[in-house]
Amino acid sequence: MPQTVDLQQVLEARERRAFRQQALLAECKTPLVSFSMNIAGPVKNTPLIRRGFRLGRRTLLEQMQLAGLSAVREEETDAATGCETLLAVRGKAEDIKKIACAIEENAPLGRLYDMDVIGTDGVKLERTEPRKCLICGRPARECARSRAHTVEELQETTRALLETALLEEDARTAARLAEKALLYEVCVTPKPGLVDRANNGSHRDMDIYTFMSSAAALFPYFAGCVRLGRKTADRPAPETFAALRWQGLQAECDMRRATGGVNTHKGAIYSMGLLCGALGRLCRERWADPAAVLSEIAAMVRGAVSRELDGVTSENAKTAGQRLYALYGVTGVRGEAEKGFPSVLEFGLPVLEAGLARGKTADEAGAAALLTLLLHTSDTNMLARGGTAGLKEAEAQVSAVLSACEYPPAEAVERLDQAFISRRLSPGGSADLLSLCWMLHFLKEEPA
Amino acid sequence: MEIKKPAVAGTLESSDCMVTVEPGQGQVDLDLDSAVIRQYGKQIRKVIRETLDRLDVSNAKVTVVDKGALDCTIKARVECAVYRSNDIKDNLPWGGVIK
Repeated sequence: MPQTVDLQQVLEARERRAFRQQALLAECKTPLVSFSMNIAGPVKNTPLIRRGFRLGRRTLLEQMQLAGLSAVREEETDAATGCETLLAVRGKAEDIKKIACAIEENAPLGRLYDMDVIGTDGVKLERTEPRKCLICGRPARECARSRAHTVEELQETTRALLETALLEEDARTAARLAEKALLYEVCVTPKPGLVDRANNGSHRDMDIYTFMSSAAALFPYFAGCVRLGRKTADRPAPETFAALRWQGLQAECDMRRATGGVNTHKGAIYSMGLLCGALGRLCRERWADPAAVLSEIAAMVRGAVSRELDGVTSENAKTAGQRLYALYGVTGVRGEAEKGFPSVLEFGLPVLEAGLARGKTADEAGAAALLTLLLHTSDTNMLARGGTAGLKEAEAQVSAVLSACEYPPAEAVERLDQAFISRRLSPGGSADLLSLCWMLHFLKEEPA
Repeated sequence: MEIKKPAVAGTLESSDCMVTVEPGQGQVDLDLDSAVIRQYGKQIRKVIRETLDRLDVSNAKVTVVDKGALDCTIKARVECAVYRSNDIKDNLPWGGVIK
């Protein structure tokens, strides 16, 4: 249960705040911004409120920086009476007040922000326009004084506002990183048989621009997957998976429209869409934990392999994945997803991150991760194009390159590229897994 | 209760008020400045007077700058200022914060 506070605690917190303001003013001799959340009722601090506060603090710091105003000191408080930060800012109080008011008026959560600006004379700057009521839009102080709205009503509106704004923030963050992951994957050069910055690999119908068009078209899809994940977060995980199905089909239409009918990202629509759906189900703090994200995917997909592949024969197979299952018994990306992408967690991601940590370039670390993934999954794109013999031979070549050097030099990967091209091989399945590795890596780096 | 020395309670944040009490000249002089004085001036004066009566304060100069505080907040701030003028800081959650 969240902690509740009484009137005396609230009044005490305000006096403490005023006292700290005067102390900081005396010490720094600059204008101050005192930022706290405007939350009605006895519960002033919950994980949701704290996230709203963090977002407001970031907006304030970034907007001030944009205007050339820099904070010279910051004192943060995180207590049952609420989250606060006190910033000593080099600049003119009037300029700071303009920014504070603009945030209060325009930011999605602005109505919940109290960003008071105090001049070097210790006097709080007044707003030109009175603040509006959260619920009815009338002057806020009149509604507060007359208790026009119940605490329950105010709490409900506040909670809905926070949830909506933070979901939007989460959806945009995830979609931006997912798109970045797709772009990083295609840009890793050289890669054997795949489209990269140097050549089109074993492909004739697509180049790097096709991938750019496709990745851009998928941004709304990834954001939509996060929203669906959040919407179904209280339901059993497979219901999220079921809800994503229609979005996935629509995303495939978007991709084909953007590429002139070429399949650039069908696998990524499946696996990255699942990942974004899983992010929607998880609270933001857990996004940086790859094992948590991947096991959420496994929970969502549970049973999907048998549902989709049981009874499939080479006669009734419709998709490439179903045909390969009928021929070789491989379960492809579905099987990987159902197990929570163990090849990503155990091989691809560690190789990628260890390489980057050792100062390898995105090309070097990315190629090494891709080759490692190729050895630890049965890449259905390779099977489809080269059969078992083609796959085995390619795996032997990759294995030889990797045992010579953990992070193979570009020349070695270029030789593999030529060998793959000559046999029209393309490890598209492994490339999708590499995108997941980039995504999980970006999620770890993204501040919560 | 006698107002022995000047004392302050409260802040100028929105939904709060700042109350100053000083030794009086034989009666209670109340100076009120409020953001909502037109609609609620009368009611706020009443709350302040009642609180002072209950504390048996009959000789004081009281200045209140109100930023839209609720009655319960005004009452608590007035009480606190009177206690502080008598150096009563025990059993007050804010005791000792403002020197």
